[in-house]
Amino acid sequence: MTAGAEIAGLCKSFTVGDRVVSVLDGLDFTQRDGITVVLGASGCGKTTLLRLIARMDVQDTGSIRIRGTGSIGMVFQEPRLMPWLTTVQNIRFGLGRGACDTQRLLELTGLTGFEKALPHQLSGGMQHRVALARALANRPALVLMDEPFAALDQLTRERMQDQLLALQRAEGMNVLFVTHSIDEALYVGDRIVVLTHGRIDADHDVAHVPGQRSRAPDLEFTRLIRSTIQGEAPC
Amino acid sequence: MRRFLRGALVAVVVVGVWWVLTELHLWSAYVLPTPGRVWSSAVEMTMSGELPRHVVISFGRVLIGFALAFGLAFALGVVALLLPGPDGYLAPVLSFLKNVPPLALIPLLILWFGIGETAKVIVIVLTAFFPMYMSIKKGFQACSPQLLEVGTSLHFSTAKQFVLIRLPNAVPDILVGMRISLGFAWRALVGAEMIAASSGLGYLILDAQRMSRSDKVIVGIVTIGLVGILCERLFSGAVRRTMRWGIDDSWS
Repeated sequence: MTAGAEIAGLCKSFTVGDRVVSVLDGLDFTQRDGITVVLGASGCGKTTLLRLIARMDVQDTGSIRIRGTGSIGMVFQEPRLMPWLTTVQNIRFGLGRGACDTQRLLELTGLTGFEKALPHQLSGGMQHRVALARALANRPALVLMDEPFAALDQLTRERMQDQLLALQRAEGMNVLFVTHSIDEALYVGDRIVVLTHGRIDADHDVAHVPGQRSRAPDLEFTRLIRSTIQGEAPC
Repeated sequence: MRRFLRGALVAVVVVGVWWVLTELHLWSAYVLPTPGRVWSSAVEMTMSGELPRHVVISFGRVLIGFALAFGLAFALGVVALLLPGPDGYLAPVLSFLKNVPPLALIPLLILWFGIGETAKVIVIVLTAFFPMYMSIKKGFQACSPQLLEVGTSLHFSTAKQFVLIRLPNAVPDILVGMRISLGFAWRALVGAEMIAASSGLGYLILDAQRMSRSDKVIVGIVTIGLVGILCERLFSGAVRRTMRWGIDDSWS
């Protein structure tokens, strides 16, 4: 197995007013190669999990080990591009003089011809593609994606999902992809883990599920996933 | 161009009304000299080199005061961001100074710094400082947490996050503060040059008043206004040329 997160007994809680809310409660998880989708209802700790893996936050207890070498790329729900930088500058953001095949990334993400455009001159989908290219600029071994296409319209979202699959095939990186959409999980995922009550509640290898990578997913499997999520809701 | 023509039209109307009023002889020529008299004084003062000399001296003072005010505002803006502790001590002092008109400090400034350039520059600094300080502080502190998180995800140090995210993000706010301060600096000029000056446009106006030359007073006032407009136009033009984001129509 190449790069991925190995998590054991992960706990994280937040203080809201005078209440302590437990978000992750002894989560164990070992990432495998390919695209792993973390699926769950809003507020179940998906984003917290990604933030902890990206070292943007610190867990209360438990351990996170990043297996393998290489950096981690992060894609947020919003593109979060620097409004004063052009497409190329945004892709290279934070790299300094580090090597980066910007031209190849532009081609892979279909942004050729928009090198000098500022974010406000790009469409929503293009902005997301720039954000994706930025996350890949450092040639990461692991990419964390936090509901990256949730704010996009249906058609653009589907186009971005295809783009992600093509990029993953081309770059070979492992992806931990967070979403609350079962259809999206089935389309992009090689493996789906369902997060409820701060723990992994179900773990499915979907490579052989009928309807995987299809816009018409298997209804029975979809129902199974939905019942797993709803059975534990609200989380 | 249309904007310029509109401004020119207003100027023509004002001069026209002024000319009619002087022709009606409602006031003496001392109280309200004719536009022709003011024009010939302006030409005479320009040809003799008197007016350009005062303009250059005043411009230098504004430039020095403005630059010092910017440096101070930027430094204290960074302190306010990175060291909230010391800023807590500084804030009441700055709040006090903000509410004291710099002109009220002139007697003390003369006492402490004499009648040289220092006191004049300090008045300009004190006037130009606050709009820039407020804008710079706001610009640094109001940076989007989402953008800052991009830096966190890339494991930026505080310094790198400041240089690559906070500072460029604050540029539109900083420029707005600079623009307001530039206007304030010119407005403070007359006050600054009231400090026993022997040169500058403020001195020119006061000297003309003592000599009962209201035509020269008007030449001085108009020159300050025109040089101020020119400065602002040059500044706005440079900003619009170099900034391709965060600049709205109010800069045109």
